[in-house]
This record gives sequence, structure tokens and C-alpha cells, in this order.
Amino acid sequence: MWFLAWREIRHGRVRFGLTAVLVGLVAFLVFMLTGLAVGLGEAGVSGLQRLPGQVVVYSAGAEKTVSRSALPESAAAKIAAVPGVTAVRPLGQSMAQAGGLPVALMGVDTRAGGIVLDRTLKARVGDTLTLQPGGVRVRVAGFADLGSVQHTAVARVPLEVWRRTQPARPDAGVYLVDARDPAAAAKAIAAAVPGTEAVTKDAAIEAVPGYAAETGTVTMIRGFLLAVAALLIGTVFWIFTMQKEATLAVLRATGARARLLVGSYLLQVAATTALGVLLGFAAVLAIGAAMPAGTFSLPGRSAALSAALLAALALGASAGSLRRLLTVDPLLSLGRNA
Amino acid sequence: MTAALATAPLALRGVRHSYGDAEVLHGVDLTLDRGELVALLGPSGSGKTTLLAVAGGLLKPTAGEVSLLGADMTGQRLDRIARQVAYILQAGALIPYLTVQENLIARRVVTGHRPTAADQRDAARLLAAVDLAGKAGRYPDRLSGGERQRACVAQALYTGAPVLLADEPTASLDRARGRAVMELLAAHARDTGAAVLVATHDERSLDLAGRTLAIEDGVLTG
Repeated sequence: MWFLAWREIRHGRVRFGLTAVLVGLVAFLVFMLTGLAVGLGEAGVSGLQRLPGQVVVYSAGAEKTVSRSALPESAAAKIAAVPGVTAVRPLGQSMAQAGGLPVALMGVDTRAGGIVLDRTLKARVGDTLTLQPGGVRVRVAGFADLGSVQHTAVARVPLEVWRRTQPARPDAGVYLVDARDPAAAAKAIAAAVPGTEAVTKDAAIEAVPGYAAETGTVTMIRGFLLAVAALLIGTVFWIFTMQKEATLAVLRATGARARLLVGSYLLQVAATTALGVLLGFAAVLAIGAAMPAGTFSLPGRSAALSAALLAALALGASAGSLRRLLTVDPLLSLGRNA
Repeated sequence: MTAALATAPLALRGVRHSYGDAEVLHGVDLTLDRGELVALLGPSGSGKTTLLAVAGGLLKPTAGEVSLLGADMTGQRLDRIARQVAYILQAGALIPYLTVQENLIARRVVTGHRPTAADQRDAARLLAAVDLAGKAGRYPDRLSGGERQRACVAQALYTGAPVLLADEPTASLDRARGRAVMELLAAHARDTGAAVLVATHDERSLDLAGRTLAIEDGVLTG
């Protein structure tokens, strides 16, 4: 089947090339939006994703918002006693300034003294920064890939330091829980510890203000783009099929098997789509590299998933022409209609 | 069916065909023997092309029987029939994205054959026989009407099918080239034992045919 497929592409290279460029433009937009969705998502919640634990325990009524939650220290022991729970860690979080830099300040249970900053923040180890609110002075202990929360880079300080920035809310914070079965543990904790609401970390991340709306909007646009891509590729190959009905009639009259016609056609769709996707990917890599940090991220897995989705949609949409391909009247090859 | 008919490359018995209410073949009986070139004469609209289409399995007869190498053609898939019956299609029926030589090779490839060096040699030999050796690498749109017609003849011969059906194979050719094509078809029938049926209204090369039949208004005489 490659015999016919490749020769038709070679002879019609301008036509197939333009189709590949068209697919490439759509693929570029799909990759770009995927990168933006992932980038925005990371900018919104990567600071939480990089925290330990699989379950987040809030105070009841906090509406899954860390900054609204307040739990007494005594809750930690009760949570730890719930079957399936293997570790409990406190977490406080608030938006703050560190030496004038906006940070998502996290108070964590750590032995490290001073403040650890995300690598994107500009400071030097040993610098002394003043935390606002609270006016607490801390020394920069180091840098790490701490991520960001609500598009603000994370800085971590010991919990007792963080509490000094929140003098009016001595119990503020949540607990991060390690559990063998996070979903079951979340239910068990909420039932066993009065005044708490426990959810898996994934659910907690979904509840971060703005995150679901942001990623949902981009995902919706991406979905529309994929639908446009499917329609576009399906229409182009439908037109191609109509244009070559006379040739298909000759092939059928000379004994071409259905498998050969279908195989050649799908090979052409696959080759054109693959070339288009590669062009789109190359363009997005070039442009993505020039975009500001924290807005665009296209991990290999997301790119592969988008490419596979595009390829599957292209093949699915072009299947609409198969019936026409297989029902062309071979009598056309004799110069007459049946 | 007699033993002779059962082994004939192609036999039609009482074949009728209608387009809607209009019957264009009225009970045609025709047997082609091995190594025989039969000319089918008739004016335009007499039913020649329909008869060829029925004989080649492109059209189902509305009544009657077509047997190919002793087997009833009814119900056989077209790709199976096409391995035994080769059409010499009209001049425009080359695949536009294949070169002339590739057009020949495609005739075997489409039935599942993998092209070999021997296929290339066979194709080159046949193109030389129709005086197209120098045009093997050209695309059909770079050929004249006569060259395309000769390419179609070479294409059908290349299949090695035991039955060859030709619809006006000399229509686009001058007298000398038309005769050369008919000589080639006669030699092919004689040398390979293929049965060849040529529909034509060109009477200049009828001396090359073993038999000449006439068709008028869907009735075969001769």
C-alpha cells in the first residue's frame, strides 16, 4: 500500500505539503494552549503539589482554602490516630512580602533555620529579609524548586516563624497527611476528628481559587481547537477523495483490493498529520523557549498526549471518506456511469 | 455446460443487461477460446462497452451466465476477477501520479503482488514493444493521447491475465500504430494462449482477428 500512498504524496507534494502546514498550524495552537494550560496550572498550584502528603485536613467551614483554615495543635494527635494515617505535618500559608518580594509564604515543620526561597526569586544566601506582615527578619538559608501558588513564588519558613507573621490567628493552618489510601483516609479523618474537613491533595488543588476556572477555560479552548482540527483534516481528505474518483475507479476496475485502497489512504492521512504535528511541535518549542518563565510548560507527556489526540482525531475524521473511497463505481474507468 | 465451455477462458450464455427499463444486451452467447483474438464490431451505442463490462465483471448481467475459466462469475469479488481478466482501458485511464512504468507495475501491485526486479524488466520490455521505452519515466499528463493509449495496452499485457478485453484500443492511434497494437494483441494471444476480445469500429486490422463478430442494438451476430 506504501507503493501507491508514497507516490501520490510525491507527485502531489505541494497539495500534501500545504495540508501538512495547515495541520501544523492547528497543532501549533493545540501545543501552545497545552503548554499554557500546564504552565498556568503549575503557576497556580505547583507550590502545593510539591508539598508532602496525600490528604489535606482543613477546619470545617474553611471551604478548602488554606488561608481560611485554623486547626488547634491538639488535632494533630487525633488525626494521627486515624487508621491508615502514617504521618501528619502542619502547614500554614499566606501571601506575604519577603524583602519586598511578593511570596506565597509557607510555614512548615522543618529543622532548617531561616527562609528557603524558590529558585525564581532574586536574593542571595545569607541575605536578611524582612517578612511583611509581622516585620519578622529572616536569613536566606537557600534555594529550592518550591514552585508557586496563585502565580506567586513560594518561600518556606519554619512554622513558628510563619506564626509570627499571623499574630491574630494562632491556630491558622492545615495538616498534610500521609496515608496508604488517601480517599479512604480523608473520609475517616473527617468522621473521626470533629470540626475538620479532609480531602485528597488532588481535590485540594482543584479548590485553589482561580485554578479550576483558569485551566477550565484553556481546556475548553483546546477542545474547540481539536474539534476544528478534526473537521479541517476530515474535510481536506474528503475533498481529496472526491477529486480522485476517476483514479479510484481505475484502481477498482484493475482489481485493487479494499484493504489496499483503505491502507494507502490512511497512510497518507497519518503521514500528513505526523508531518504537520512535527512542524507544529518544532514551532512551539522555538516560541515556548522565548516565553516568560511560569507561563508556559510543555512536558513530554503532555506533548505526546496532545500529538496522539490530534493523530487519533485526524484518522477518525478522515474515516468519513472511507465509504466514498470504497463505493466508487469501477465503471467510471470505462468512461461511463452505471 | 459442455466440457469445452467449462474450460473456455470466457463464456457468456444468454446474457442480458438493462439500464433501468432499457435492455441493451439481448441474450448474448459468446465463447472465447485460448489463444484466440476476437474482434467485436459495432457502431457507437450498439452495446460493445456494456458487453465488455459484463464480461469483465464490472456489471452484473440481469439474466444469463458468465463463466470465467470454467467458474461462474456470479458472486465473485471484482479483485479476484481482475486477476484473470485484464482490461485495456481507455486512454485517460492511467493513474496520474504514477509514471508510465509505475502504471504498469501498479497493475500487479494492486492485487497484492510485491514488485521485484523482474517486474521492472517485464515493464521495460512491454514499453519497448509499444514504442514507449523512452517515456517510461514520464507521467501520463506528459504523454500524447496515442502514447497514453499504447501505455494502456502495455499495462493490460503486463498483467499476464488469461483473458484480455479491449474497448477501442486503437481509437486514438494513427493507421500504422493502430495496426502495430493489433499485431501486438494477436501475437500476445498466439504466444501466451490468452483469449482477447477487442471491441472496435475500425475495420482496417480485422485480418489479424481469428474471428469477427458484429453487435447491433445489443444483439450479437457473426
